[in-house]
Amino acid sequence: MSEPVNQSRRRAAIATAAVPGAMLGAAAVAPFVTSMTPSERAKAAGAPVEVDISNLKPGEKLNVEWRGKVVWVMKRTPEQVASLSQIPASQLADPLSKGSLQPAYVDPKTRSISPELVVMEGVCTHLGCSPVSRLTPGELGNDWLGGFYCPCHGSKFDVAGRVYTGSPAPTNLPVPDHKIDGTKLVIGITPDGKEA
Amino acid sequence: MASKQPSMFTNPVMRWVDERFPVTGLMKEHLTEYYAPKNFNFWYYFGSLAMLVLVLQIVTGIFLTMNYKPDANYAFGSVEYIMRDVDYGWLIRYMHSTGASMFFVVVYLHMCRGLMYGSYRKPRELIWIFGCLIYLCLMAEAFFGYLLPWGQMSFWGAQVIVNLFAAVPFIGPDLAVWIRGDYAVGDATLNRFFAFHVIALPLVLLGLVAAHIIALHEVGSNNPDGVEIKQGPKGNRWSKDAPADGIPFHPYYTVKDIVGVVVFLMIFSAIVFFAPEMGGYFLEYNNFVPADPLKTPDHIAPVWYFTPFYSILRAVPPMFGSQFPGVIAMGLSTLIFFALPWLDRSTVKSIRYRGTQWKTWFTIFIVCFLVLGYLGVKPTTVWGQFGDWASFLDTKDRATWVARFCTVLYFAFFFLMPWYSAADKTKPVPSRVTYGDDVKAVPAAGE
Amino acid sequence: MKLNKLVSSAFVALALVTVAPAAMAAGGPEVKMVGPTASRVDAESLQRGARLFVNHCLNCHSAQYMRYNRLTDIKLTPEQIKQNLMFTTDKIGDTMKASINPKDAKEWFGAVPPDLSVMARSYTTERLAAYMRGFYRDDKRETGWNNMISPNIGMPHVLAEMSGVPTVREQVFKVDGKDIKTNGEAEGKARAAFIAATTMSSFEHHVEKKEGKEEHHYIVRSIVPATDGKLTPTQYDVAIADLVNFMDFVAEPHKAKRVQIGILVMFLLSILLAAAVWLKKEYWKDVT
Repeated sequence: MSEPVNQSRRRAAIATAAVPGAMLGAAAVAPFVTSMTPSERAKAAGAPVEVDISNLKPGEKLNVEWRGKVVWVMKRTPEQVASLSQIPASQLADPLSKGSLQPAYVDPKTRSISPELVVMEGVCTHLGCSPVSRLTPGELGNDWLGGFYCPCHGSKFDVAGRVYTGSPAPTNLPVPDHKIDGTKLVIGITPDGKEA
Repeated sequence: MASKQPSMFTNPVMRWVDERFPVTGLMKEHLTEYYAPKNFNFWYYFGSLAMLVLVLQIVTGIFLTMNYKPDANYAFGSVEYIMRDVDYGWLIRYMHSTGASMFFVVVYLHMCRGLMYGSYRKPRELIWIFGCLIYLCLMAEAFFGYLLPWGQMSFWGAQVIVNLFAAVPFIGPDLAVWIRGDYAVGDATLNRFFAFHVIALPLVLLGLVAAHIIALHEVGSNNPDGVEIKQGPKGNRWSKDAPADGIPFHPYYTVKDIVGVVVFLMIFSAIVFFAPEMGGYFLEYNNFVPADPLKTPDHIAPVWYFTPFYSILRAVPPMFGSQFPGVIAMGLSTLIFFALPWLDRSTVKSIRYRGTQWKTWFTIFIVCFLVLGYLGVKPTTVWGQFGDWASFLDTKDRATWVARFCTVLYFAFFFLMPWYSAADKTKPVPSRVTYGDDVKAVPAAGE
Repeated sequence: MKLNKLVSSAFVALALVTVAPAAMAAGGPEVKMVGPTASRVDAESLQRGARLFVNHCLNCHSAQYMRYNRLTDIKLTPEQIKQNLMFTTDKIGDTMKASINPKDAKEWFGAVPPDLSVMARSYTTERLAAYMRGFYRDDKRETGWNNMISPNIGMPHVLAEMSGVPTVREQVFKVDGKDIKTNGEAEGKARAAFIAATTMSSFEHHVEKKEGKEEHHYIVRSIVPATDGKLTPTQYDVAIADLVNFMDFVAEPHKAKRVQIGILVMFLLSILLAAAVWLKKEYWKDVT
């Protein structure tokens, strides 16, 4: 039992070893965490999707798959566009899509770049069912102006995917990034070419 | 054993836990009040390193299974998918493949330590037996895992090893088909090997490792002098009942093992980052060719850690038209380790106090093991053929004869041990372990 | 001519000479590979290699695990990749598929040309470079070509336009009762010719039975480089080095990143080692 234990030097040595030790520990955890993010294959499969919209007539809707989800591409008739301003704001949960997913470059009310062509995910924001078309006015009661109805729990949306108050769905149908290039629509990319 | 002890924690949550689960008791028993001999040397790093590699293999293995597909059509592709498309998948895969080889490096050195210092002798026979079981389990684990990348070496290696079972008299062929689940190594084989590799054997391995450590902590660690510290004087600066030559495992051996761990990680990282193939020994070139049942590679060699035993298999000539004797010899060469506690009749444990006979036999054994290992990775033609002068040895390959010679010596080390170990002229064993200045003071302590 | 010879001999002096023993070509003849195996790996070499690869290899072979967008790692922009390198697809995230239908390929070549994703890892870059320089004219073969590294392979010399048409010089040494009297002498002379050869050469020994007597044949074959190609032999060697560099990249796209990370990890570990040694010493002061 020669010299007494020097506790402060021991603590200093622990602190010195702890710094590179912690850095290496974090560096060792990082690859395992990032390995669980989408792989290159998943990213390639989730790449932007091109849709030819030259044959899309007013009132028609296309279903496109993008990243495993249904995306609706719909050309609205002038009546349908007009119906958007006939709905009293009080009947909509989020009339200006403030709490809903949509890019800044789409009109908050029509939820589209140009009034006619709307692109939105056909996935109910309640529990993920796909709403069905109920586009004929009056189809769901006298004041129904046409829109979508979720068969699972009865959420109702207008033709811009805005949810009516009293529906279980909390927010409007999400609008994904998209770019319109003449008759070509690209889903998953912003108008200035950035990938989502 | 972990009876109620005053809690070492001031934190109320930990005190609450301690009243219901023996955290304090377990930590004292296995760390702060586990007294290990103070004279551990370099060879005593490998136990903790083996634990480290086991953890590394389990963690990297879990992440590999997230992307691997045990299907003959997709297995090879899914490994390349991991290597390229999964973020840092290459790193995880290289860690796993390097870890497999390093596991054997560490375990071989750990076993060599046991041989040198007589760690298998009474009262540690059971620790040794658990250790041998761990080793067998590890070999099975490595064998099953090696099929999974579904390359040419995976496929043909498995084909050859499974065919060894076909050499068993009477039931052999049916046994081989049963193991494969098909008439040749195929999708069914891959799928079941995957199950063994990722769940069955790891469970057994973990259980055996726990048993190995519980048994060790029951009887206490051996040391390079082979002196039982529990039989020596009592009382050290930490406890008056503890062996005088013991020091608490924590913090003394934890801080020492950290040094070993860091050195190990440097070697490990150097391989993973700069030479993951290790010149074809850790990842074989032919395994980057997808498995092809119609085309055997020119030269099939098992991964390096199996080659000593593979050499023994090849060295034994077929008898009565059957490969079975070779299979028996190979099996025996791995199982013989179990008998060691009862084969050794020396009065001393450590190589430090053994005589020339044992030291000579031990050296012969190590050399034979290495030569057999070397020969196992080479084709039998490695050293050419005998010239005409050696026609009395028929015209077999020179390397085969060397392998036969080494095989005989390998077994002689074990089977003659009861005699040469008892007849050996040993040196007097000190009553206390040699440490620090004592090493010079005790002339007999030289290695 | 003289200058040319000087240049080429300097080139050979710089180059790696490998004599592949039995392990490399077990069963086959012994081969001496002369020539550069890899040039300095820089982005330009890799880009040139990429161009050769997509223009010549991808016609028949695939690299089904390699995605086109990975080529951004060798300093190509997505636009460059799309415009210059993608012929079989228009999606940059796609993998490299062969232009021909695998079924047709099997009919034409007798086997589906192997996937090249990890060819550089299984075949090794040295042998790959030698293989691409090992083609020679052989009229006995259906394709008209043979190869010194992989004799009787089904693949024709696809880069013949660049290299010209190399031929092979064959020397047979056997007991003829005149210059060569014993088998030992035949072997010695063959060995000497093999060692003296300045181009890629192979050494083969086989025994023929003639009227109950064994006849030992020692055959040395040397490639005679062509001069009728678009490239000089030296330029062709460089092109092959580019191609092999690229294939090495394809086989392990993360190699460069791996080494970079490795250096950082080793640096941190050495700091940790110093600290750990200090920590151990501090604690062990009171163990006496």
